[in-house]
Amino acid sequence: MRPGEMWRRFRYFLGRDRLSAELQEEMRLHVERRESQLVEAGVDPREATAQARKEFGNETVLAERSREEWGWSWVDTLLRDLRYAFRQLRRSPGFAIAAIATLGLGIGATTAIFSVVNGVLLRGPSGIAEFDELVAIYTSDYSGPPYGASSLPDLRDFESGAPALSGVAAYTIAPVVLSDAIGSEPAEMILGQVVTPTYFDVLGARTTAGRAFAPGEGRAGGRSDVVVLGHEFWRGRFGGDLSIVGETITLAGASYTVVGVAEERFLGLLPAVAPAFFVPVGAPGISSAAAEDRGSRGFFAVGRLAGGATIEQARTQLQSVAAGLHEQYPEAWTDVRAQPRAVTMIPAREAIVPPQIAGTAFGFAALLMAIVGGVLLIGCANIANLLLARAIGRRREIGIRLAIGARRGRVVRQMLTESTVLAGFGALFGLVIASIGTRALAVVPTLLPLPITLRLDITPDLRVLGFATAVTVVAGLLSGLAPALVATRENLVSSLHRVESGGRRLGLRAVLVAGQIAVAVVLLAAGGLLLRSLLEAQAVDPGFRTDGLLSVSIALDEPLTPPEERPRIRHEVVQRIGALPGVSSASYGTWLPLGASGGGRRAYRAEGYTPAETEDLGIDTSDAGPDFFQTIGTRLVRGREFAPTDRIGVPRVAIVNEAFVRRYLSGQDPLGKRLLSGGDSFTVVGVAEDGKYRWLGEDPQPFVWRAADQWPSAEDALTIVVRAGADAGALAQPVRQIVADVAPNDAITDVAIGDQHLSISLLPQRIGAWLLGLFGALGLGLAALGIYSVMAYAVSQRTREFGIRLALGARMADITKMVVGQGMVVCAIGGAVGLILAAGATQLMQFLLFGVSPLDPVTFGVVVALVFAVTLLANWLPALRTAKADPLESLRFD
Amino acid sequence: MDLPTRDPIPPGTLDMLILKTLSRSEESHGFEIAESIHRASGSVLRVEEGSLYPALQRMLVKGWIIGEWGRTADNRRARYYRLTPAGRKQLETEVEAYRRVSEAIGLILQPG
Repeated sequence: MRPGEMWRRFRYFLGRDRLSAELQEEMRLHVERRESQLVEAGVDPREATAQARKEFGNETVLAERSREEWGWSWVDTLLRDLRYAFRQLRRSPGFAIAAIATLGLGIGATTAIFSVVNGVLLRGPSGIAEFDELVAIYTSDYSGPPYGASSLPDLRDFESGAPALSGVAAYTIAPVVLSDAIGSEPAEMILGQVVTPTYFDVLGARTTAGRAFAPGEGRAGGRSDVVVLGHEFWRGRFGGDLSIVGETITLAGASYTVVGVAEERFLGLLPAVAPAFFVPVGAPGISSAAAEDRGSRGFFAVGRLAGGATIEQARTQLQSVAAGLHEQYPEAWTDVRAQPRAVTMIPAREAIVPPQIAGTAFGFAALLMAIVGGVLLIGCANIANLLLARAIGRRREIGIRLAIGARRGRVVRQMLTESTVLAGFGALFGLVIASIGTRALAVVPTLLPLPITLRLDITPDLRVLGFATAVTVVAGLLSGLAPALVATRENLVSSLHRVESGGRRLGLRAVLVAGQIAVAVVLLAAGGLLLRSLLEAQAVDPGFRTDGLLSVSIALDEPLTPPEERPRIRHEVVQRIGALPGVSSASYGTWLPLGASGGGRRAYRAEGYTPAETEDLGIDTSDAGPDFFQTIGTRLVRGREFAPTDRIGVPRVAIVNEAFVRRYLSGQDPLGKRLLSGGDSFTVVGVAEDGKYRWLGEDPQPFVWRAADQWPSAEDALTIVVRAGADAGALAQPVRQIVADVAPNDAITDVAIGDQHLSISLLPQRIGAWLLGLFGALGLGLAALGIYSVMAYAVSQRTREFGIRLALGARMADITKMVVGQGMVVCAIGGAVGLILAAGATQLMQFLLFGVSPLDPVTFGVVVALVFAVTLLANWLPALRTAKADPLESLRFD
Repeated sequence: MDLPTRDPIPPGTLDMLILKTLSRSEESHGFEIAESIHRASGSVLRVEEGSLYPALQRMLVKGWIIGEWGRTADNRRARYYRLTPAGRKQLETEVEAYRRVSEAIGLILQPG
């Protein structure tokens, strides 16, 4: 269509009322002219009028056809259908409200979950230019997995050795404790990023004020004491004051010149952890000097493809760089399996979710989407059922319309308009539900027992809007199509006669009900399995007693709390806490098992144990103070706890767990054995019972504790553990106060009471069980509503039949039994199909299950019982109502 | 009584006939177009009169003709249609296509 024609069509659309009138005038003139022509030819005037009209044809139809030529008749049809739909809905407000609420819940829940999936998994970081040109670069880990971090010297070689990349940028996360040095009271831990000087340039990120790093900054011979503030941090801490640019602030005990403020939407490459600041490599007090080692890999890197270059070219170039590096630095470039380290490159868009967890994350997202989709389906089936009942009520009207020449497609279209209008209103209501839902879900990260608050950006974007629109249209069609087709399929003649076909034939409605039950069974089975997993996981013995335990994680600020100060701080804190009423013991360590972050891995070798050639001797390890095991409630099976006498200058001691003994000291007396680690040696003084260290589902792993007081400056993290006689929660405040008094420069990053400490390791199960339980219940409720309404309708249609049966001597109880029995057959079929589907579906969620088989008979048994009870009730209530209404009465009418 | 003979015009040629008619005259209203087709065909072809109007609307939208309201000799309001350059080009295309087709049909119908 040419633009001129489009413009003309548009003008015709705007002026279509006036143009219609003109058309009519023109045609009238034509008929009159012909009429007078005929009269002149001698035809009788009256006959001439009739003949002129006849020759001209049906004026209404011709006008209609002329208007169709303008190409806008569909708009008029649509408007007419819309008006009709609104009228129909206004006529039965109860139905409209029920339908809109049902669809709204479904569309809202689906959209809310999709917003989260979109925000977390699909939408890349913002504020970055041409994101699709970026590629993520990984160096494989020491133990083999491909998606590891890279080292700075390597990254420089990547940049110079791969012309297909126009630049390489990298970051590492840098925690910094803010204390009164810049007016933070109480002390607080913030996260910034140490970045390559190329970071802003390669990402194409902008600044709100000032500038990004200048050439030379962050490089040998240049300044590194410069900082670009994160937008949010700048607003929160400096009140959005632009004059801060050029000023000096103190970070990690060093002076920094603020050179700029990042643009608001730029949150670096890891938006979930919105950085408070960006400092270049070499930043004093923040960037570790070890970062310049080739073997120290802590930077996550992206590259930008040069114009015209492909990722394959860049990949090939990097691989040859890597091969060269392996030759030049064999030690740093060989992993535990004696293989060369590998470099992996994937499009940055595929790395929005770290590839290591992408499978699980997308699996979980797919599961959630499937579940809300299921709820929406059940809702649509309900609407379809209600529309179907109404369509059958309107059979006569539809029959008449078809009889006087309406095309079937036209009637179907009009009925679909009606269901789409319902879905549209449902979507409006759904938006409210979705915004409540996303707000509730956005709170989840703040509940995590993490030392920092994760940022979950789930504000809807165009994609979410498109998704919601598509869901709405599909929901409208799904609910409307079947009823429309069924209603217009009805035999014309029989629908015009008053023939009541028996309500016994439920047909499509029975199929819909069975389908609803099937979907509800799948949802409930999935939710039930996750709930069981959660219960199982909570029943797992973590190897320490969480009830009555209070743990406080503290980040120590390096310059303000120098290493030599730390033992004094620990002892004073523990001593003062121990004096609080209600405290039975208190201790400290670098880490409490199953904590979100912290804990280390070090190579230990038990003397006398000969490792296999490529055996990885890395073992999880942390440091513990005196009475640590007694306080956290871990039993020592042999030997003793660490004591205050285990201090510097005394031979070093260690406590190992049972798994360690089984693996490395099998058949020997572990006490007194020596462990070698690097240049240090330890004497084993105790054996602790096995516990869980990384996650609750792990098999027993070897573990080694060192005496904390023999390594006073080893770590920047400190965990205070307190065992309370009764109420651990009541101790949280006094303990916080003591820490703030004794160590004003150090930040409390987390206070966990009782099993709160375990919550992070149970998070997927907890969220899953919660959401699935909620949606499963919603699905079952909607399905029950559907059964109820279908049964009530069917029963009401059969009142006369029941009356006849009663008149012939049947008892009411028999009729009730018959009705409920027939309903239950449908439900049983649906249930059986649901069980088969569930058996398949739960196999797919095995990765979330914990100590429960995907076919767990208990879960499936409970689901069956629950569905049976609910459907029985939904079938029985309408039958009961009929019995009360006295069907015999119905025979007296008509 | 001189009732005209009426052979329906061949399908698909109405647009062409209208365009041709308009190319002969400066401007015409609907009734004049119908009459002129009738007369020019030696009173053989008669437009199904009503179907003239959907065709005129289609051609207006396509931009082949323009219509302006004017007065008839006896001072009645009527819409007068006129050919545009695009309409003239369209007429040539259609005539050429029609010639090709009717020559081909003529070949098939040749006796012997």
